[in-house]
Amino acid sequence: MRCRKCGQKAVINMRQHRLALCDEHYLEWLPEQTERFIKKYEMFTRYERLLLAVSGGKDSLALWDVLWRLGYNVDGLYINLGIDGSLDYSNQSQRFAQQFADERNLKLINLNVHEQYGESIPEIAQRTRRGQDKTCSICGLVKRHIFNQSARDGNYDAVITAHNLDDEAAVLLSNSLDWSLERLGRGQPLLPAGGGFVRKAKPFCRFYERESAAYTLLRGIPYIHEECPYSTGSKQLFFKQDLNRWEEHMPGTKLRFYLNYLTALDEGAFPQRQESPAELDQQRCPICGQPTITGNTCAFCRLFEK
Amino acid sequence: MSEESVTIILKDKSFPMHAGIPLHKALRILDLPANAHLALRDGQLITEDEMLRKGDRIELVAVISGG
Repeated sequence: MRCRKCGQKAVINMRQHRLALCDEHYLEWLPEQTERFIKKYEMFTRYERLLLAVSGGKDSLALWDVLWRLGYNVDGLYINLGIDGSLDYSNQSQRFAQQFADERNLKLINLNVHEQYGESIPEIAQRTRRGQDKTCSICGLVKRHIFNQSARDGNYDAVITAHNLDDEAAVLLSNSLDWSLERLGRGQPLLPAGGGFVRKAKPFCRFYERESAAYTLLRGIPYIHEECPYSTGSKQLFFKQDLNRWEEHMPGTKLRFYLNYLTALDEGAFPQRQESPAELDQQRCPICGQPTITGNTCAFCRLFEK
Repeated sequence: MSEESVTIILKDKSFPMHAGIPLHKALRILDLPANAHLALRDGQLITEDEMLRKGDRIELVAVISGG
């Protein structure tokens, strides 16, 4: 297979785009497309301070590299969740994130959940009713809280995450099967700031997972290959595998699923969040001061109530 | 009938495979979706139409993460 741009040997074939590229042109293409998505969804500018959620995996390190090369002002935030799983998983991931930052002289903020809150994610999950057999749910809740809090404390303009199209399509499939209209109403690539929530953007939302992995490999960026031990058997993984089987027979299925959803979202097919930013502003958690839908103690702080 | 002279490696497992078939066919034999994996030959990414050659060691990288 040959590169569409130069005719050299291709290293990747993106069947959904009918596009094969060589290494040189792929390493140009992915940042160009990222820039295009940032502008299309009006995510952020080069004059703003951005906080990127870094996990030490392929997606977040690829995105950090791309944003850095494009000249954006991005710091990283690594949250050490205290997950071991006989792999020393969290510490290993942190080492990859730190190595990446050190090699490029970038700022990485490290936050350790156990040091900060006295318990690791698995310990919180084991202790709380909400966390029983749902470690990923606790993990997501804690990370969302910390990202928002850290961005507010550090006066960042936006939190950036490296969610890719496979992530978005899997969540979309899950929410569609549940007919969760409320969740389907907030799947935009950009969630504006308001009511105490910092703006959130997903510049990689239109890339397949395979594409960010290819970028990371071609750039020679070391990343953690092991999976989080708690992701085994997760619903998201199950949906991703199914979507990929469909994609195998019908190239472009995942892309169409996601893009047509975004069109439907734009056309008002799903209810948007009921509370206005001003209303949410009145509904702050009395303990941490972060916004909460209920107006009482937020779900994060409830994890630590005695 | 070609001999099984190709080794395909995924994580800590290795699978013998015939030479003379394209990578996508080998992945189908192993029941691995091509769009969930990248393949490296001698450290270089290769596309799924690449023919497997006698003596090849193909390293697969699983790209699906979840949690």
